[in-house]
Amino acid sequence: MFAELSAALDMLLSVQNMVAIFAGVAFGVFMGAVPGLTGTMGIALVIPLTYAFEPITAFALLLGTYKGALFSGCIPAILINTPGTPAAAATVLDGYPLTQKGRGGEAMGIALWSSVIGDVVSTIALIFGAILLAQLATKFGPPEFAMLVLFSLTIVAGVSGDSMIKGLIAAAVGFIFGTVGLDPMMATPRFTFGELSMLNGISLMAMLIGLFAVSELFIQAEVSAKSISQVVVPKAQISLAKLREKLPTILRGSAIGIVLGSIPGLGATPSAFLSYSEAKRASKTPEKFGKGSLDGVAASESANNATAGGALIPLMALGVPGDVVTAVLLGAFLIHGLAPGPQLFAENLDLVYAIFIALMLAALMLPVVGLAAIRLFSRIVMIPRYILYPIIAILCLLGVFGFNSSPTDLWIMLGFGFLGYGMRKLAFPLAPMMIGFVLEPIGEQSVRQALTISSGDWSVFVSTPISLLFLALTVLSVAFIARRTLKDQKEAQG
Amino acid sequence: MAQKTSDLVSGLVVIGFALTLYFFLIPNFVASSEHGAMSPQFFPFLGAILIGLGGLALIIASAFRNDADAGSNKSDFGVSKFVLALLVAAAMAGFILLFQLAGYFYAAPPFLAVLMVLFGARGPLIIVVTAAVTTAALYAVFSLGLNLPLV
Repeated sequence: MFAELSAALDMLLSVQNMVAIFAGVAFGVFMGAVPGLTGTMGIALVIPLTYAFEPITAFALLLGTYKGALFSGCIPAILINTPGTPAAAATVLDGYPLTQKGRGGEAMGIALWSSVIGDVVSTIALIFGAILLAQLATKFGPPEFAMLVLFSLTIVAGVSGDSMIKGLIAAAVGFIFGTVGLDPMMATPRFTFGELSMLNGISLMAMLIGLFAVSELFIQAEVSAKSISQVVVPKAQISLAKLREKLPTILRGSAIGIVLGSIPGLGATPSAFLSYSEAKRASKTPEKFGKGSLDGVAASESANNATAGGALIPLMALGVPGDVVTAVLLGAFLIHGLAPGPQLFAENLDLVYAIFIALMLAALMLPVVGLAAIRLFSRIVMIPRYILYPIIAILCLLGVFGFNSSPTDLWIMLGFGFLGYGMRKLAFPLAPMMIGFVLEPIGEQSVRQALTISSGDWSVFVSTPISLLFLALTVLSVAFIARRTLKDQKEAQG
Repeated sequence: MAQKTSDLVSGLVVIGFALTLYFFLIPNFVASSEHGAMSPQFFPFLGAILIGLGGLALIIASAFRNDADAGSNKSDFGVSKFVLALLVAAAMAGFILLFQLAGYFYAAPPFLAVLMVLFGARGPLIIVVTAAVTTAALYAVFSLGLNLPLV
């Protein structure tokens, strides 16, 4: 272990990687702070810039972006009552009232330090959780992987938004797109229409940028505002005594974030709201919540940042994305030729440790970048849209072209941009399509390998304790989702 | 468009897509000599069936839906808005064509200028300067910095 740790430090500790982490956090903060831009879009835009990098430098940049965006959604939430990312929606409840009372600086301070503490705690949980889970996963064969993919598909329900039916349709369409190219067992071409460039399947990069970034451009083209906003930003500050007073709330929020983040499909937004409601329940002054409570901000911010470490546990250990952003990160790993999962731990443990250290460094850089970002925010949001979005558009095009130097990928990206736009307009969620697309090849290969081993006997999928465990988890997950849906419907009617 | 109507239309389109997949695209564009789960056609057929069932469920759900309950899931299609998105898409398509035919330096400046106008820029000077500077800066980043050829 110490040999790998030493190799990881050797791999990571270079000026290039430190700059990559810093730049990633800074870019992520920018993406999260500007309403309309998201961390998912930020990662999608950064991926093409990482082609020429070593994998560790690429991941340093990407993970920095992920962490930065998770934090900075709170900046517009607190200052202009507009969450920069969905995960910061719970922060609005108390953050903006604090700004209205002239306590915006305190709100920003508690948000920043809650985010940093949540991040550090969740990274520690990730390191231990992922290693333990990956050790267990070395016992997985094709049947276990097939059942794991079945379980993973339940995350579709969690990222489907208001309509589970539309989420399932989107996932099934993504599943179909996943079958394009050579079939994994017999190398039979599927839906290639005689195009050689389609034999490798649909470019993950083109699909990802098309669905998430290009569709957003089309949506933004409809907005007539000249710039995003204009606001006077207070200085972020919180006393040590106050921070210590809020520590139980922050640690509770961190624990909630880690647990909910590690459950596929839940993610940052429900974590933040659950943490907020728990903080309110535990508070001696619950009546202050919603009117400007620092505890409310601390609870939601610690939880939404802690989901990063939690969501990375299944991604790193099993190769299963826990939410939309980790689904995009999984794409980035695959683009760099690395498949997260037990094999990665077995064959590239030094790289895994290097990634963990990079995550910790990203968390530690957050205060520096965050404080600067808060000061810069008034300038960031004043960037005219007519400069920001054309640059994003050309970055999408050049990024996708740079990956394979294939003009076909540009047309595919544009096609997915339109598909994504149409889906968003008709209230179909995008994330399930991405998840269906990413999981289809893994699931299909596992199912067909398992059936080859068992000579076509389907009972192979329930023949080992691990397979049965995943089946039970799938059933429990579906039951939980059904119960939650019924409860939501009853509440809506009541 | 009302949520109920848009869901109904979406459901019909989805079913149409599933039927096209099942009866035309899979039989004609996925070869197979095997049967059952070992066939290369098995998973595409499974996907098509799931899409079809989803479309059917959407139609049934929309039939029982009260539009007042649509909430945040409301669809948002408007012709004028769609035209703006279409113009941005057309500009991107134009960039791709020009990029393929003439190269980056001929495609990028007009693309950026058109997009700036579409996003609300009106000053010719800012449009020209931004387009020129962005074109040069991105060339430096991608081609010179990252060694990814753009031409």
